[in-house]
Amino acid sequence: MHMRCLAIVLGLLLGLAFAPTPAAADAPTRSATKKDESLVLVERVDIAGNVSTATRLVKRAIAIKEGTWVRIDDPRFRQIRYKVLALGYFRTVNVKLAKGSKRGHIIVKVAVKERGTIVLNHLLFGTSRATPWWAGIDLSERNFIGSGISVGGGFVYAAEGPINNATNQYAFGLHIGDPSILGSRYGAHGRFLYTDASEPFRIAGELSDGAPDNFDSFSYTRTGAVAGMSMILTTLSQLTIDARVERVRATTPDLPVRMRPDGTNEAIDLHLQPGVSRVVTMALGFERDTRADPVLPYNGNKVAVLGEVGARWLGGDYDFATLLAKYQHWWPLRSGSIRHVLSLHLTGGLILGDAPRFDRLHVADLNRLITPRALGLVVSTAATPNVFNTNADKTTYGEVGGAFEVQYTYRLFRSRKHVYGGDLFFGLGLWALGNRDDVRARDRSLPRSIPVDLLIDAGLRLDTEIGIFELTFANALGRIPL
Amino acid sequence: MKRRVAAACVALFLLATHADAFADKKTVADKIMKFSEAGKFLRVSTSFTEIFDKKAYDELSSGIHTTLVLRIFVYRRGQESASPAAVAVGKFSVRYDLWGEKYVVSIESTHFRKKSQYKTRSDALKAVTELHNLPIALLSTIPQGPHHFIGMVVELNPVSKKLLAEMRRWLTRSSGGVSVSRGASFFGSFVSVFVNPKLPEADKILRLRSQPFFRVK
Repeated sequence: MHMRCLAIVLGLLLGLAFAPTPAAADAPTRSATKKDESLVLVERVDIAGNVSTATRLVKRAIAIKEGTWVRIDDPRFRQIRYKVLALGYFRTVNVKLAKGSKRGHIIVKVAVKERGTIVLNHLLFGTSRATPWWAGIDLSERNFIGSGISVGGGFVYAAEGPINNATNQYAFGLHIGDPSILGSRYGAHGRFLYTDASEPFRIAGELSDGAPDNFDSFSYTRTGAVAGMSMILTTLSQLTIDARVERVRATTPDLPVRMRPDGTNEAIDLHLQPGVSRVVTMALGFERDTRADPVLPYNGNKVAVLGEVGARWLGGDYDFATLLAKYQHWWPLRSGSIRHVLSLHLTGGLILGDAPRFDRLHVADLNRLITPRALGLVVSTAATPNVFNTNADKTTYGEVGGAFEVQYTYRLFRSRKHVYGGDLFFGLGLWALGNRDDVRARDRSLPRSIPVDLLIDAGLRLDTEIGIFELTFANALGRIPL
Repeated sequence: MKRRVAAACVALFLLATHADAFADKKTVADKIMKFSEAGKFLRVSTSFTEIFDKKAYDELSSGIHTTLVLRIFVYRRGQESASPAAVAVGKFSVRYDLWGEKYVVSIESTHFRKKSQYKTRSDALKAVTELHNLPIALLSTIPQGPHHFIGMVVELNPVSKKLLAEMRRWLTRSSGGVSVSRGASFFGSFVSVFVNPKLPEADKILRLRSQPFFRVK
């Protein structure tokens, strides 16, 4: 039954892949306008200067194909430069036309200069009271041996901290992806990951006290892989389908308990099965992005939804479902000027069933003031700031959570040099994270049952030739011990 | 009549999509321009040859059309922040005819339209970068007496914002990663670092301002 569903989905995807594109449908035909002298035949497309990048990759990006009749003033000739530059493999692209073998025939000549394509995806570093230091890096080669395929890997190491039973932690991952298989709207990607974690859990103290003495650690390893496909639905939207298989080996304490400040004990669910278990999931994601500038946005919106199901019938040991959604919208504050921009950011997540610990919502997913997980490793036990005095209810992992934030952005500058632009921003909002049991069995009103607190951040975003940098208050806070 | 309506529509579209270009107060160069009145139009003579560097000049012979988009705003002096008294737009293009071995120049503006051919590249360059008594405003919109000046934005091979947006988005996607996936990328407030070549909105943009002038009776 499930195989049949999969076959139908794949059939639909393949059907769409070979559907004619609008550009092809619009191309003029020679027979229809034989006397039109502005029509020319593209006899050949010559690519020069590409040393490591395959010629077919460059040709794929060019909308005007060899052997087609086009108008000499077709705007797509001018667009060739931008389409090829957008591959990200070249520093300069020059295009010119030359006479073909006879009148009315032309040769398109594209001269490129290659650029380095090794990309820094993430730099991971910092220190906290629970972890003396952690450091890591995630790199990609975006044009592996000139094939257009991206290959990369990341690694992080976190030194053993003063928490009982803590050990050194490390994680690494390898990823490979082709955003456009044979120039189609389909992409494929895969990831492999290995994690050796020593995760802290609270055994004593107030929830607002992040001192390492209040924590114990347990170890687990994750070995797994993700394989998936992406499909560009329209210029603005794409769909992603992923399958994930992981083997988890957890060494959990027999009876993990937390001693409350009043002296009573509370059993703790670590949300991992002791010994060896398997996580098998299928995920479907959708994204629509209408922003004119995805780096320093000033208008448009972005929607992302991800649903994931893990089940025993898929071969796993955990029955659960997760739904994550994000909506962001940017508005220029004055018409005709994009110097002042207001934006709304909504993020929410819901976990149903028996999700493994690492698939639950972590407090740092929603509150940027908390140290984020480094390739899945928890490296800090710092408590969340307690502005609204609801700390007694705050949890590290939750099943229901969300964040609402309004940001004001001021455009500092735009440039054509190495630093393309900079924006100052200030954000204010609310975040909440809890468990469904907190809502079901409660001794207070519903709004008090899901702890809510303040979200605040401010800083500078820089768009540069080598990437995007965020120098923010929250980013700094997450890297130092407090 | 239809041509005028079409020209007006093009003008409105260009203005709507580029309304903030002159108001952005980027580098504006002062330029001495000549003004005259003929027929019912205020006319301007000036040049902006400097928008072409060697590379752009060489590209005139590439066979691909080169386009200049002009937006001319007539402001009343001291009222720069108010709406301009008159606006004119123009689209000048050059294409080298590979077989005819000539440069085909097309000039379309709010109040003027002309097509011509030139044997040499330098003549074609002059044709699209030197304005000779180009009508820019109806005299009825420019009162006699008060000082005015004109602001001019010239873009060489401008790229539509839609195309730029598509290219930038493709660039963020083409790292091979998946933007819709679990983990920091989903919750993260920002995209990660990627190869980030700037795709310019035009090959070059010039912003010019004339000296003040006034109409006499």
